[in-house]
Amino acid sequence: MKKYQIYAAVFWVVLGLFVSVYSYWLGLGKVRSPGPGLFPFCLGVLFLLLAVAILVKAIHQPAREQEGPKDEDTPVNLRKLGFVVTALFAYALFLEWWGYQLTTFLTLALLFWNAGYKRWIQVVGYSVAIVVITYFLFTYLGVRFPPGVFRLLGLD
Amino acid sequence: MDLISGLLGGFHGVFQSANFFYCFVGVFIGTLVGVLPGIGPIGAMSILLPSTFGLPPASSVIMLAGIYYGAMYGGSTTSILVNIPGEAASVITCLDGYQMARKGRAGPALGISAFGSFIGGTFSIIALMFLVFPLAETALKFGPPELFAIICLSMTVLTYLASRSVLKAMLMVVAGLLLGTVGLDPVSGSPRFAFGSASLLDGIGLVPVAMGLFGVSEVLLNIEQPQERDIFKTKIKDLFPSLQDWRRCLGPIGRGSLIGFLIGILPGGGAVMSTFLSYTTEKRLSRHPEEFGKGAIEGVAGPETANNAAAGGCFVPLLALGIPPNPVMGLLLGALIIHGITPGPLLLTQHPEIFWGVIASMYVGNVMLLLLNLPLIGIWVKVLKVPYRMLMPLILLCCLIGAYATSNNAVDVVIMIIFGIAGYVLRKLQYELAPLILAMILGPLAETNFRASLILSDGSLLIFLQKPISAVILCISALLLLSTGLSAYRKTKTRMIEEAGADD
Repeated sequence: MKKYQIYAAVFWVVLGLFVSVYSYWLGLGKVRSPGPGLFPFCLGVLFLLLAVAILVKAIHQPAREQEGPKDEDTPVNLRKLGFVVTALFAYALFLEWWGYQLTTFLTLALLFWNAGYKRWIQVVGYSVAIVVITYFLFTYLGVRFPPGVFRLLGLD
Repeated sequence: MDLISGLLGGFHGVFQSANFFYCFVGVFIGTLVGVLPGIGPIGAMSILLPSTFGLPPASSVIMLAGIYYGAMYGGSTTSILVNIPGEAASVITCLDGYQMARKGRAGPALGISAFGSFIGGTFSIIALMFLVFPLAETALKFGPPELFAIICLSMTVLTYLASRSVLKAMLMVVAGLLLGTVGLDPVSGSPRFAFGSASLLDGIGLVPVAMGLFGVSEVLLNIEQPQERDIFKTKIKDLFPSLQDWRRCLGPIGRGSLIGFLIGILPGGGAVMSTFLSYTTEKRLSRHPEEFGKGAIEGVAGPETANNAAAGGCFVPLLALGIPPNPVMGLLLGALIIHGITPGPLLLTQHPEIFWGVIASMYVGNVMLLLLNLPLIGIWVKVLKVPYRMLMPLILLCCLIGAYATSNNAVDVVIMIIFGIAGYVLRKLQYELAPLILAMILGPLAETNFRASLILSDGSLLIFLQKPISAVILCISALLLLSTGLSAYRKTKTRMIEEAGADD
């Protein structure tokens, strides 16, 4: 939809401005001895120019030619999407605190439930099996997982 | 002869149990991600990249390369049986492959795509072997200005080939270059865009970004708009194409091998583009162009050969120049750099075991893939029946583990999720992601070579035009940009004239 393309272009313009100003503060130096900000500054200005061009194009383009999200996006699916994104952020937040086994089990259970598995035995069974398999597989491959609560229990 | 002894050494390395095992794991996972829609080779490679840190560099590259060319084989199965491409390079196979399956010829379609892939893959390895050495010798004469010019050309070609808006593709290139500047300035060591965060001082890692953009965002899109997968119920028989099929396919397979290899070498090129070019060529050359789209076996053989030949071709610039022509090769570059190896002309002399190991593993991998994809086709058809609701949590978990394992730091997981959301929004708004990730990989290389050139020339930008090779390459880039701009201008002008006419 046209308005989303315009929102995105406005975001790019603001981002381009920020990058240009921030890089300018970093110090441009001279061509003979370029400062840390010269390369990002040039890129920031180019980014800004492109963003303005995209914004102008988005405003002038007729709505029917606009590509992007269509109206068929249903709120139900967007709710599912929001749920998954929240579960992922929660995973990142609790991983080091609760440890791999517990956090992964809870996240997987939520994801399976959200994906449409409603029988608890399936949700728990799949989640436990995957936690056990991935734990041993990735530990074998040299990945070190955070023990979390298992360290407190003296199990890890 | 050097080639023969090198190759024999490579085979000796591959047949050591560990490398043989990793080659098999690579091609197996490759076929799996090729078969499964919802995750492509870039996603799978970035998920597995951290788990290769503990392996010797040769094994790590052998496995990752296997995923890439394995996915080219696997992708055709989904295209033919489900009419949904398993990954982007198999989109065109849907046109005739699925129609062949509907006519009860799923067997020959799967057979010819596997044989075509094998022939294309083998052709490209042989060509790669002969081309890398002279190219690497020439590349030894390249200095920072030439390398900077080649990087510029790669990025220009990427935007030139953008299937949608060129402006958006250019914006993505610049955004990728900017992401590459996060961290410490390579010359002065002062922090840039780190905002006081110790994690950002090392720069934004390639793995979390690639996994977010190509793994998580793909899953998010599938959750929002689930795709129905109806597997075509047919008995798969006659996997070995008939003599008549072979007669029709020899030309397309030969041309597909050549087209794929040449497009693969091009900076910014790759498997996807080679399939389109091969299909168009075959349709034009065919005596029965009307059969295309209705189940012409040439329309399966040509593109399927081309995408595997391209998978081999794109190793040429990576191994000879150290410049990845597409995001997949960018990930391989990242893997080598993590192991302390810089790909480029010196790789062949300093680490011949890696070069020859990869070449030999590709021969072996192609044979493995032929065996995996023909006699075992039934297994992959069963894999296709695994419901997406089962796969989705698994793919996400692999992404989460992969991001964490990169640096044992939850910050990388957060970065991956943020890029996952960004990738989802960008795809919805029709922005292309390949230019972003490739520019992010090439950005630091471009900056280092740009600044080194200025130091060499005592601050004069003319150095890029005084060196003949860099001058020619930069001129080509400028011409490409100009022609892109002109065609966009013409399109806008025509539209405005049409609108003015409609208003009158």
